[in-house]
Amino acid sequence: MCTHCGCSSEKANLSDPAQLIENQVISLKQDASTLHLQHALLAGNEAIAEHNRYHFEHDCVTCINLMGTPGAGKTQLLETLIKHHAHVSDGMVVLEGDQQSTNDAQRIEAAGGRALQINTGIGCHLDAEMISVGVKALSLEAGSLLFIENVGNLVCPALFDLGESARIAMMAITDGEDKPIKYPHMFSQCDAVIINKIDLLPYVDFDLNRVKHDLSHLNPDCEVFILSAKTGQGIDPFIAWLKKAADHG
Amino acid sequence: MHELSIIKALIKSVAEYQRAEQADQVKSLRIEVGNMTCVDADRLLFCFDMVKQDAGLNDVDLCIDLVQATARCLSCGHSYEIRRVGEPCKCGSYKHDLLSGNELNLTEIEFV
Repeated sequence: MCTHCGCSSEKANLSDPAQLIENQVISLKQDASTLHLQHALLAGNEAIAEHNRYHFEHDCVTCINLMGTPGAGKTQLLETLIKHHAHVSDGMVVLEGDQQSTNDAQRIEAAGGRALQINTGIGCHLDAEMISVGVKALSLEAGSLLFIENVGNLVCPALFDLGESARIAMMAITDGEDKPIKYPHMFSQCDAVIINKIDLLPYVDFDLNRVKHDLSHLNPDCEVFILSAKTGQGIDPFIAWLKKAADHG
Repeated sequence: MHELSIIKALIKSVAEYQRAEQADQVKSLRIEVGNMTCVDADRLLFCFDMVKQDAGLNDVDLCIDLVQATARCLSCGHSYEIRRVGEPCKCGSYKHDLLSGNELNLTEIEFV
């Protein structure tokens, strides 16, 4: 059993797909010493996220939460923006989230960008407080484009509002086409999906129509960009979306 | 493992209410979890067991109410129970607003 997160084979939940989820209520005796509440458990995070959002809007900062699988090519996409699309990446700053190492922040700086690394230790996601601390350290200029590269994980980051104005879920064709239906929370709670490494399509069994079909059910309004961060193939529609997202009128 | 973060937030909130109420000991806690939250009830219980001793909540029962999600179809207006993300309305549309299912709330604290 994992001592950090409690995952273990005994905890694996086997379910019959035909079985319905019924409302389950465990009874509790009530008396005068019971306090009845409606206290959101993530209210602490949400308050800090709203605070972040207020400052981003006030300072005309566009904040994008880039989530996705480990190895989807998130850092490479940001490197490509910095190196080859200066018209959108001018004034771009990156908050890099990983459990350990400063590799990604170093890559962004080597590409000519500005980055700050946040290490979450045993944590599997970034939360609004980490972003608040990171943003203070960065002292962003008005009009900046802030990319938050979240910890590579398709589960936990989806639950935590960071104060971003847009969310991207990113995967690569080498991850397999069933990622959206396997991790529906992530792919249903984003504004855009990026499917990367399309240059490898001749070498990989990946059904592009299947993934588009699944996304049309999970998140009918999201934008889907199919591109290669390495070669630049298909990147123009994403650049156009980014420019629109960063437009403060 | 976001469940541990949620349990830590729960413990922090309980301590605040305990101070405000000047109560000595907590007997039980009740939370509600919507089935669209991506939060697993069994794992919440497991994480609670893991940290309750350090939080001084060793003898506290944690009760979890699972809330079934409901959605309103944006095409035909029909309200329906939604059991998994991406479940369509009977009319075939996948576009909907969630009416419930995102609950993640502390609803009761029973003091000794």
